[in-house]
Amino acid sequence: MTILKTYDLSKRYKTYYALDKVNMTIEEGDIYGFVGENGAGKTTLIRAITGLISSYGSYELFGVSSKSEQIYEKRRLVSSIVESASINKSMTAQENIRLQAFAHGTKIDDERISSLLNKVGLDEKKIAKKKAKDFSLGMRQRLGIALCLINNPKFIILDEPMNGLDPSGFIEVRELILSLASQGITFLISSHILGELDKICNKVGFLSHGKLLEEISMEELHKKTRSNTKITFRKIDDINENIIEKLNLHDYRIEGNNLFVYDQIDINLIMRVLVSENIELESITSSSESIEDYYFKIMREAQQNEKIA
Amino acid sequence: MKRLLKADFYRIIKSKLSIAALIIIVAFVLINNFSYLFLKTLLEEEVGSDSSMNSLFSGRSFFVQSFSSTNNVGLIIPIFTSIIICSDFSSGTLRNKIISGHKRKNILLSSFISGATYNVILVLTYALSNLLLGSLLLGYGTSFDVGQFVLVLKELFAGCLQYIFISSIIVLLAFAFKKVSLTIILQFVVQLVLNGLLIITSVIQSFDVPSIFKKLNLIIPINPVNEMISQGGVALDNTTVIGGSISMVIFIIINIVVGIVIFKESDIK
Repeated sequence: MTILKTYDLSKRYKTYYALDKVNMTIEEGDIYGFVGENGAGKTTLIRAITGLISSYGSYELFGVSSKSEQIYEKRRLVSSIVESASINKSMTAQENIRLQAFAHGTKIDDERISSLLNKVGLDEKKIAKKKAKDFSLGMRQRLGIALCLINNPKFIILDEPMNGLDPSGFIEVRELILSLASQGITFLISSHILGELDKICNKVGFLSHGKLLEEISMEELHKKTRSNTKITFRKIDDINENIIEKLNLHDYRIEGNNLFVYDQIDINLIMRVLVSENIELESITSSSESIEDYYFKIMREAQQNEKIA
Repeated sequence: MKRLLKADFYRIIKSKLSIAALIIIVAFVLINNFSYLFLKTLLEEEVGSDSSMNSLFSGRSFFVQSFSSTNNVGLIIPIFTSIIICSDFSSGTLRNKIISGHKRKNILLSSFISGATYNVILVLTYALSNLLLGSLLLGYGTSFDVGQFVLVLKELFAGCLQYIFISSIIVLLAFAFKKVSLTIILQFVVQLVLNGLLIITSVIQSFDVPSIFKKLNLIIPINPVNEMISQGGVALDNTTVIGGSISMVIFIIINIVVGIVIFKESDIK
């Protein structure tokens, strides 16, 4: 089932587009990571799909169009932290949970409150009488995640969930997300911390200046960023099944006139085959790309394309 | 809507401002009544007592004065209500309501109903406490008969409706500007303007103008309470109450509808 699908989703502010015809798809069970520089439009997108701001284009949530009256019913299956946890600072954690439960129409008792607080690593005894305004940023973030879980959502949207967390907090939130995902909850997570997204997400979208540059599965991204040998052929037709078989390749990828080989290569075999087939090469290079490298490459290409345009 | 109301009332009950408001009201009731008791005692010693003094220093008089939007408590109540309503924006909890799937129209209506209820409870507490304590300490001021009972009911109705009208102004301003300082300042400006209009209409009445102009004050929402106070709580004619009530209800509806239209189109950060 498709949880979220956007159709040319756009948001214009006076002279610029914060979102520019974004088309993305999140399937049930996905942990979709959103990456982009500051001002890329990540939070704007989250605001648009949660109904906080108006937008052009449209989207479907659980198959229901954003322009339909039924969208309100489907929103009840969604929870979100947008920019920062929305908590009433003059209330305690328990009171905030009750307040949110009332708004959702969810019955809640002390046992459930305890369970939610334990789940996000908040020690109920320590925070019992503490107002949220006295919480650290990390504690507020954890409380925000607890509030997200009250209505047993099917889709959780987290905007920079690791903000304010220490390294042990990173691990706890990561494990919580993975645990909830294994129970069938779909996630959309925006983050600057690519390393964390790499550990959690199965799909990632790269956003820059409001445009979705690329949407790619993590598996594909890992393939693209593994260490490899890049063989650039002079003629694109020279890369064919015959050559692949003769070179005895199993793990490879073809992109235009480039052949990316992830297998251990035998350079002598390559030279023999290429000479016997009378094939000319541009270059053979080794490369190893991290996800960050890939991300910056995508951004650079986008900037260059913009300049050309 | 029920869910929203539950959440909004819970927020008001848990707010420290609610307790602070009640403490301030009780303090004013005690200070006013005991001060006036002391004053009355002094005056009686100096000049003796008469009916006008009994009327001025009475539970009845304090009860009527309680509904004024320009006395101490009348100024404080809208401030507290503005803070409570606007805190939904400043804390971001209003975002949670939208994300949870509540319609914006219902969110505003719930804020209005809870804010108006809060306003009315505070003003009723103030007015009835003044009536009870004032009557105990200073006397009711006149004989309490069926006519007086009906008059008290009319005044309660007009006074509460005025504070519901003030709540509608607060909600419109809060949802339009989302800032507590602007909301507080502008709702005072609106009240000043309404009071100014009342002054203008009463000046017009003293001129030789067509009778329709002499009735202009009936359509100004705060007129019934103003009449109550200026008459010293002696009488409140039905035309004034009905005219003012219709006007208040119409303006309440206008404020809410305009508030909904503005809120529906606004982006929430």
